[in-house]
This record gives sequence, C-alpha cells and structure tokens, in this order.
Amino acid sequence: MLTETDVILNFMEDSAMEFAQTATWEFPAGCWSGPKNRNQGDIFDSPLFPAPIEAKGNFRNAKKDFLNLKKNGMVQHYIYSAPTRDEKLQQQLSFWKENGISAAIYLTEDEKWAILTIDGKCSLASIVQPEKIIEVFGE
Amino acid sequence: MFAAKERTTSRLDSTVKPVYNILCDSADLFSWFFKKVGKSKRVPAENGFFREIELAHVILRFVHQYSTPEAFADMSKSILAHTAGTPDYIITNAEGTVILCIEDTHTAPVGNAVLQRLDKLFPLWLNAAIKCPVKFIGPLEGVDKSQDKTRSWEQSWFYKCWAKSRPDIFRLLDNAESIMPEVYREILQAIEMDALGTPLVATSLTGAEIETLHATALRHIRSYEVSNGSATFRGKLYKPDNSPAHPVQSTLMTICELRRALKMSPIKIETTHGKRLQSSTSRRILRIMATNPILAEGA
Repeated sequence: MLTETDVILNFMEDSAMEFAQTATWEFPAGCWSGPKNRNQGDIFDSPLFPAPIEAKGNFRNAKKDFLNLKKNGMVQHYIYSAPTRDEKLQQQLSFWKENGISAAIYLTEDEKWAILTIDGKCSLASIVQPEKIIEVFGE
Repeated sequence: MFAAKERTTSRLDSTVKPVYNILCDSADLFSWFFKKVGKSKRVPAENGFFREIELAHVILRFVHQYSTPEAFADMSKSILAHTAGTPDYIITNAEGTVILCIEDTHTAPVGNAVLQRLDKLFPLWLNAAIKCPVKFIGPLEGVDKSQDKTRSWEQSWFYKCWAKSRPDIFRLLDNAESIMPEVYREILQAIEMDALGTPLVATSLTGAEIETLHATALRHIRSYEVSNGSATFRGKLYKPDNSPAHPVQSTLMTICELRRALKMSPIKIETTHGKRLQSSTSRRILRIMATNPILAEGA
C-alpha cells in the first residue's frame, strides 16, 4: 500500500502534462492550514477534468471516505493503490460500480493504473497517459 | 533501514552528479517544480518513493515526510533534535550534511501564524552548533480572513524590533506567488555554494540582538512579566477543551530559549496543567521543561 502522498504524486507524474499543469493539487502536510472544503477533493479545477478527485492510500480508506457523506458528498472520483489485478480488485471495482463512482487504482506490482469508468462519462482514463494504464474497466 | 549516508550518492567526481536531498514537510515544492520541468524519476524507498529531478549538474532528490516517514526522520534527525518543530524544507548534501533549512508559509502574517512558526526556527538560530542558514520565506502582508483585514509583518513588534534588520533570514515577499520560486532560488544558491566548497554561513544572532528581542518580548507579551528579578509566565497553555494552545506554548518556548541564551534564571509558569507539562512528550513542551521552569498553580 502506498501513502496518500505517493498516490497523488504517482497520479501527477503519470497523468497528461497539460492536466498536471492546470489542476490544483493538495498534499498532506504537517501544519493544518485552515478548514478544508471537504467536497473539494485533493485534485481539482483543471479545465481538462474539472471534477474533484479524492486520493487515499488504499481501498479501505477510500471507501470509508466515500461512505462519510459529511466529508465527501460531492466527490465522484477516487484514486488509491492496490497490489495487482486480482479478486480483491474485482470486488473493489464492483463496489464503486454499484455506487456510480469512477476510480483509478495504482497497482504497485504492475506500476500501472487500473481505471474504472462509469457510463463512459468523465473518465479518469482521459487524463492518464495511455502507456501508464494497464486496463480500463467499464467501457 | 538505510543509514542517512547510504541514502545519498557520496561520489562527487565529474562523472556522477551529486545528489542533494530536499526533505519536505509536504509535496508542494516537488509539485511546483514537476509542473515546470515535466520529468521526474521515482526511486523506490522504504514503503514509498523518493522523487528525483535531474538538473544540469546535480540531482535533486525529494524526500517527503508523508511518503517515506522513516527515511525522513533518519535523514533529518541531526536538525530536528535541536528544535521543537519541523522546518518545511531541510536540504542535505551528498554526505548528509544539512546545508539549509527553510520555513515557508502562504498565510497572512497574523500574530498566531508567526508565533506558531517561531518554535521551529528560534532554537536553531540560538544554537551555535547549527552550521547552516535557517530562513523564513513568506508574504510581507496578507488578508486575515477571520477579520477581513490586511495584516502586515510591519505591524508586529517582532518585525519592528528585529526581523526587519535581518533580510538575510526573513525573505518577506510582495506576493504569495513569489514564495515557491524564492524557496527554489534559495535552495539552488545553497547547493551551488556547497558544490563550490564554500557553503553558506550559519544564521546566528548576536548577544545584543538576543537582549533586544528579550526586552521587546517583555514589553509586548502580556502574559510574561519580570518583577524583582523573578520572571513569570501566565499564558493559558491549553485551550478550554484541553487541546494544546500552540501559539501560547510557542511563545513560552521562545521566552525560555531567550532566557537560557541570556543565562537568566528559570521562568515561573503559573498553570493548572503542571502535571501535564511534566509528563508531556510534545517537543515544544520538552524544550520548555529542559530549561527547568518553576511550576506554580495558576492560570
């Protein structure tokens, strides 16, 4: 499992440069710097993909965040890390699919992203470099 | 776990670019720089990654506290052992020697924002064993959103009595957008000087500066008073909900550090949290308690 910081940084490095340059990126830090708009996500505001994206280290934390509506009622896109394409990943994808949430999962053994697209809309696959994607689910 | 020195490339010959480590509290600097250069290298580390960006003559290795905490702690311990907080950036050379520390902030310079950061820096400025510059970079002024007012460093006693005379330490900028470029410029300058074998000189305060700071603190900090040669601090070190009042603790720590530097007697702290202070593991409180304060029932 990666830390939230590494998930965000891997996503930044593996996304299209235009997206990396235009989005606003927020990282965990030691000093609390005021109230955060919890509907804002960790990555947001790029014209290429304006919807907020929330990052977590793993599925457990992403799911917990998603289920806490006080925190992230508006977030529809999650990124996190998992080991590889296995049964557990399939279960995770089923959970997101049932809830209409799209996700990009950094697979640490493959060093690539598995991406779940919902109804082909607003796909995270559109902002990750194609060679960094191992598979797009839901298309 | 690797030793700090093993994490760095120690060869400084012409065929291998030296690696300079930038130990970062957050990934903001790396993010800013990556957007400019568009290229980086992931280096697997303990349970995470270091990120490297190659320049013409050196490699910058970013070690993020919230990515590889063990590596960060190990590589920063020579500095963090001497202070109560973690500066935002600690730069080490190929041998693991710290060549620069920087605290940066985008926050408007209201009283708390300044005081909360002093505990990271003050002990380093007062410690002759610290052999590198320790700098603060932030906006000269900004909007205090809680009061919808523009606040400026120039309004503060700390600035008037001391900070304005030390532009080598306080890089106070006209706009927040200049902060990250300034941080980067300072880092590159330190690296260049280190590579040339003429590292930047340490930040040090003269005895007169310390005396001035102490005298001004005594005039302006209402919770601190000296009467008949006996010093007392009455600030509330914990909030009503029992959480730490960081700015107050930081203020007390700064006073204790100043008094110790001036070889003054230990301060008396009037508090209802004496036992808590004695058992606290907070680095800030540990530094206060290391000056052997007298605890008395009070505020």
